[in-house]
Amino acid sequence: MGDATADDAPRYSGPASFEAAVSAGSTLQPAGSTDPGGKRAAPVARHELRGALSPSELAEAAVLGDLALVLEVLGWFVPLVGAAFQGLAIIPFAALAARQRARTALVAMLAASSVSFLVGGVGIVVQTVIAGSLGLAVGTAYRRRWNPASAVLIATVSTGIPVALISLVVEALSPGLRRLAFSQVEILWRDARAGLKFGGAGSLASSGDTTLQWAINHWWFTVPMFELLAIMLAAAICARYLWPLLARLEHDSPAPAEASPWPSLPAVNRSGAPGPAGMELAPVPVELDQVSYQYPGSNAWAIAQVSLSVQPRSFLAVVGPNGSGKSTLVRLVAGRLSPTLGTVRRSGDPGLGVPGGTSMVFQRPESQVLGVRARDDVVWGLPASPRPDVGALLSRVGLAGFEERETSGLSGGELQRLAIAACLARQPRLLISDEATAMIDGPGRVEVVALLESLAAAGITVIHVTHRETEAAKADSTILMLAGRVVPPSAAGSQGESGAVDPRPAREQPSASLMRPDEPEWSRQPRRSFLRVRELGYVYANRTPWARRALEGVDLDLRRGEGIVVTGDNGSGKSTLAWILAGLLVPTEGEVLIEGRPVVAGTGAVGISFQHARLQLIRPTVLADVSYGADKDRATAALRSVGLDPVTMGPRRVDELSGGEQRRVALAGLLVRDPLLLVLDEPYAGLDDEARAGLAAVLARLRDEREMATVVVSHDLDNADMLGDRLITLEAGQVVGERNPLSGS
Amino acid sequence: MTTTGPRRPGGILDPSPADSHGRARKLQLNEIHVVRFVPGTSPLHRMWAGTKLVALGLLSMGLLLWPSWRSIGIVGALVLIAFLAARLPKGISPRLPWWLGGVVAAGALLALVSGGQPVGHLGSLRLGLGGLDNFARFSMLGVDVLAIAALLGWTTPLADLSPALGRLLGPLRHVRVPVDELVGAIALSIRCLPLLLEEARVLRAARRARRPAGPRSFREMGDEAVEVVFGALANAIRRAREIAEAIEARGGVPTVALETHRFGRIDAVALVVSAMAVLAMAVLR
Repeated sequence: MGDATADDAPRYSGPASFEAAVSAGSTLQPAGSTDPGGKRAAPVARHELRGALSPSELAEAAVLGDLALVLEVLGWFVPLVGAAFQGLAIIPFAALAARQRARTALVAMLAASSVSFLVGGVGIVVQTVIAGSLGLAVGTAYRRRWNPASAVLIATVSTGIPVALISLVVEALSPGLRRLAFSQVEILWRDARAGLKFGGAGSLASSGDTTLQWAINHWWFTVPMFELLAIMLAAAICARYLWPLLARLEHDSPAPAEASPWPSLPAVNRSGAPGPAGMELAPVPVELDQVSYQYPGSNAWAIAQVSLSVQPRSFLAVVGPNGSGKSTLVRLVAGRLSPTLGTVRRSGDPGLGVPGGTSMVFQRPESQVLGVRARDDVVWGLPASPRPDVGALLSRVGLAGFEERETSGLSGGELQRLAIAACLARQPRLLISDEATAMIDGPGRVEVVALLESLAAAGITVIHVTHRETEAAKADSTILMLAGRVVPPSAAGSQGESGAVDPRPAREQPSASLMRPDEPEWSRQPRRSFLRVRELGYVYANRTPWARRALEGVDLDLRRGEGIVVTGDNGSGKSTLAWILAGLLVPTEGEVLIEGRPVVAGTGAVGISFQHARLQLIRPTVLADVSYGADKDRATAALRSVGLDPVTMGPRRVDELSGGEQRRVALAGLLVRDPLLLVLDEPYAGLDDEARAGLAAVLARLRDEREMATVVVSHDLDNADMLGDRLITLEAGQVVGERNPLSGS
Repeated sequence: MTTTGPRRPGGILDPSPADSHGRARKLQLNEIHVVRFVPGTSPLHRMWAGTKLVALGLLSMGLLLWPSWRSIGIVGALVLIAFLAARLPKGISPRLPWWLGGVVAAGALLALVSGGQPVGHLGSLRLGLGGLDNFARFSMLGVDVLAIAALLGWTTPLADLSPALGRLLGPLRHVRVPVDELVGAIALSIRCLPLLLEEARVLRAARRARRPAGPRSFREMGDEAVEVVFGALANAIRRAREIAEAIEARGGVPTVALETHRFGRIDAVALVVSAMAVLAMAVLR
């Protein structure tokens, strides 16, 4: 193939050719990225406190601060050891300070304490501030590679002394509170003393008396000293036990390299005027010439030698399976990444997020939306004036009247359309949907694709990334990507159902070997029914003003080895049904009996897998995780039965895996318990056709060979025929239809 | 413990006694009703969120400085009046965890056994009523503080809080505190809190679903707790990465929703009442 010529845009050109770079085995890095050797990159030359937060700093501050708050709130619900949870709240702050500048952890602490004030009043604020400033000290000391003694010293100065002084002031100002607290201590001591005397330690009891009396009389010394020592002890414990965890986090989830979209244009004027250096905003036309990209720290090419031209007012679809480089490609087009090799030619600044520039919508709906209310979200990030007409934008995406709705109650499809409305508020010339339809239900998908088509018709350049070829039907042009390369249209064939599957490189054949074997004779004999659901009903927040009925009068029988698919729109109650079948929710009405007994979580009879599989994994590596509660032999067998090779996959770290792989590992972790019933909540979300077929084959084999029954809860009916013998449709919590997916549709 | 042996129908399926009745409902994380808005048009709903924040701060401060029975009574009365004025439905109060009653009873018992003056007698038993008084005061303080925070949550939409905070913290801009950044972070935290709570709910469910049969040592439980927290961290960081991308795609600068609420007569009344309540606490202590 041809050379990547360095012409008018020399800053993006790498070595002479892709082949040369590959044969030299080099791992070329864009300037300013992290060191590939696994060592830590040189500290980013940014002041610890000065300078506004970057997007990744702001996002981590908000999310990790929330996590600390959630841990504190969880503490209320755990008897007796609740205080330990409040200690755990240090961890998110420490992780944040270990990853980002001190300013980030400081903002997170202040934001989390403000939010905690709203949740639980003054008491929880004090806890949050102490946890935050301790975490800040311990995490910063870790990041700067100071020794444990200095960590304790910093925590003493930054947390211990202020806490001691403040409590001294409060106690001095409020003798009432002081007396109340001390008499409480005295009462507890008298209880303890009675216990000691009973146990025959009378001398200890009397010496305790004098000590306590002395401590109470000298409260101005003992109370601050006690707090100071407690905080020093906590800091020492953190340095001893938390630092290893921070090291692991640094290895598994490294801090993001400081985002440098368009490194030469660091200060694009975000008010929408042309950027510096006289660059006009002009995201299109853009031309990629023999572009290759390698992520920092990786030595695989995410995309290789891709050439592509995007013309104004066109609708381009990028189709390909998971991991084929589609997302990398559109990030290069958007100027979010700079190519490792090759050239990107454009007429101006892509202006990501800038009015008149490029807008992007991503995969996970609930991470797209940044405002609490729909109208806040549309204007999020826009200057205070001029304000766009929010009502008109919302009706353009089919969400008329949604201004005051809280975003946490919207469905996936609604969230994605809201995110598109926020894009439109910037009047973008280029709109990129990076798999915006991958995680939403059928009707939502149709609406989003129709909206993209209408925007393309209205003159916006639209690029839609998807793994569903049917969604590319209305596009002006379609490119197919496989393994980081663009497959020529001739090879891809027409936009048919299966045309694009043909040119795929010889894939490893997990699906073929796992395919449902020829139906053995015994499998056709009726099997024994083991699960009985009668008159099942569920009401969330029952007997409160927020009571919401999720299920009503559901009857269901399931035989060994039977597979059913439960479908329905958002809010139809299908996930609630999954949780109840797994014993995770107790029915409000009716009963769920397995082998005649009420189903209970944790007995191993039912395994449930969730869409976000990472939450199910509780050991650092794949084999260790699957071995949890079982021995190695069963674990390797379980890995094989989900189509993962125990030798190559076993030692891998769970945080390196893709979402689809994590889901398979979680499934293997369920299989070691040998459940009677497997419940899978949205197992197809985000998976491409091949991964879906592989998963369906795994489930079919479990049904046939191990007589496990499977219940798949999904809004996604592509390939549903492989998932079960019966299809049950829920609507508003009731079963409205049941049919055989093989004969139906 | 492993479950490699043949499945005994009554073995692993055998539910624990606590669960066998099936109706002993456990408190679910999604049933925390503290920060949960109840729509309405009452004076409390119409009040500016900032006023409520200031009143909340004033009353909490008063309780902290003068924790007498009179203060508790004053705040309790105000909360009751506000609750009635807000016309909040019954059944709104958070379901308390089952073990809380036990903890309160045990605390009261311990206080009675060892409490100080005044002392009462029940037959031959010596009862430290002073201790009981102390304990009750301590507990009621906590109830008061939680009740005023809950009132705020029930009558204020979450979205109104960060603009109000922005206006309240406004003067700090003069001493070069990055108020906008802080308020932006607060708004994003409020937006992400439901996501994190939902993830915590799934995490807890996933733990319960994979819990192996049989007893475990403290060390195993400790290791598992570490892994759970680590998983939550890794997941939160993944989530933050996605949100960061969404922020970049919007140009990276958060603006806070405009504060549109006007300061009205209701707000003035509420502030005066709170200030007077605090004054009363100081005088009547």
